[in-house]
Amino acid sequence: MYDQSFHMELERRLELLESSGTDESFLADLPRRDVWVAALTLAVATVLLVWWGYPA
Amino acid sequence: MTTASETETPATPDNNGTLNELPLLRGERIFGFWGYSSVNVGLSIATWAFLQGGAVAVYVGAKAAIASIFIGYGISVLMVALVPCIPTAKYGIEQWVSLRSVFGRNGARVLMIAAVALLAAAWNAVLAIMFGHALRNVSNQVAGTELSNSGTVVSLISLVAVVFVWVVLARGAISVEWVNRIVAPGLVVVTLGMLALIFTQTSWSELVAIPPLAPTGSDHLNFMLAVELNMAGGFAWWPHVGNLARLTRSSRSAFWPNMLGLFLTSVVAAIVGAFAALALSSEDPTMWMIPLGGAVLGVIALTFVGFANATSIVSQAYSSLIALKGGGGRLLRRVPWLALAAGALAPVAILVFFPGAVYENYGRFVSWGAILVAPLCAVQLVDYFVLRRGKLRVRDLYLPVNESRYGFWRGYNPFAFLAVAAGALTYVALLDPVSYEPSGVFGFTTASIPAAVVAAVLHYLLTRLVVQRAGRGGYSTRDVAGLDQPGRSDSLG
Repeated sequence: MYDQSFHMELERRLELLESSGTDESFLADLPRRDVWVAALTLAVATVLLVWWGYPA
Repeated sequence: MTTASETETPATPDNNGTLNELPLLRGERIFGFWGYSSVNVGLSIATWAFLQGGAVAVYVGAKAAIASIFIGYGISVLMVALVPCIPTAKYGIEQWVSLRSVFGRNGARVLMIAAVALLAAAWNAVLAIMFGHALRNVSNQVAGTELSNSGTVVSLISLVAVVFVWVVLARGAISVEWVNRIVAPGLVVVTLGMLALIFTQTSWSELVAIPPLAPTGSDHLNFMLAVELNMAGGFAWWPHVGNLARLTRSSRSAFWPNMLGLFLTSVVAAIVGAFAALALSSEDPTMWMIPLGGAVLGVIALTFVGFANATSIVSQAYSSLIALKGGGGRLLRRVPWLALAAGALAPVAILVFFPGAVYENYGRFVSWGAILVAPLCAVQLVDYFVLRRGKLRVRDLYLPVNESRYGFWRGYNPFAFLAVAAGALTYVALLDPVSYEPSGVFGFTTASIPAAVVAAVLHYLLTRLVVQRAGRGGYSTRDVAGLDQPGRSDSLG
């Protein structure tokens, strides 16, 4: 019973998500710029922190 | 235009996507940027941040602790913020379901059970024993008892925590929400209070002059061990964040709150933990409260921290149970909730009888998680962003093994497992997980970074040379190109 209702609901959702005629859709991709900003900020902070906090 | 509500059926446990592995619809995505950030703050302010800070103070002093905590958590949380968070958020899919595209349906299930049974059980045991330590210290302070840290009484108190968790779990998601609403703000107060008390008793110049608790002979090696420890601490979020990011309403909301909520909060709490450990010459957080706050305030804080451990176990065990229910197949789906909870907590109930081995080896234990998770995270990163260009066929994630593009070989992708195993062996070769003895190269590389690189490169090569040529796993250009969202030149994927 559980499996049957689960699969019916799964099919309903997949049809909604795959169809272009609904307001349901997958999310847009994360812009590359966001990852570059995070990675560069981390890289710069790492250099500064090693310079400041590395045990002398 | 058809909306989900027009075709909607009444909400029941089997058609509510937040309670199982169904792909989420727009209305079920409940977190915006700030909502997910606040959940991440609640997750990361838990008591293990103090343990992490205490472990870092074993190797380095205050300034190097700040640097190593920031760098270590920064690297691993950035990776975790990309996978599993981005694929689970983009497609609204359960974290272990997303891994079916990498390891196959059965392979992902094996990984899930291993992660839940081993990683979650071990983390929960650490927290349960910390609960035992806290109440033991309260008893010694208030009742004048002389209970030891590794005695049977601590184990029995820890066992009480496990039973308490099992009882609370009976109420399901409501209990998790309720305990977190009280505990997270309380821990923020305790953390800030500790920071204030440390600086009322110790000046900054005195703090930075305090040597680490038990360093090795080399300052450089101590620093690298601290960085490694913190990378491992960040990787420990991997099993938890994917299913939370799944509930977000945009990819940016799934990414940045990890960097702001999870990363910054963990960093601050661990730094406070390191300061307290250095100032009070103990890596055990349950030994800090009474010396810092005095008898009354200290006992109140210690009792609160003790119970905060129990509530952290509730959150973690609940997350594990949802994963088991969702990805455990027909067999686990039919097991009653409380029986499954008892099964998941049983290994914890055993581990609490070895408090010395579990609690006093926190640094080693957190590395054991990284041995698996660092290569696992790297393999998923390469698989999703490079090999699949950020695109999945969601229907195939749910199809039976013999019909799905992600069926691989009988539901397993042995080559992805091989890549993870090679990464894990690299880790072990660089940092002995039992003795915590680093190899000569470790001082230049750490262990998690080479483990991740080896796993990522090997997975890429094996996929291109073997899996793709065998026509398995949906890696062909035809399978990957032109899926779902229209491509954007500035998008990741």
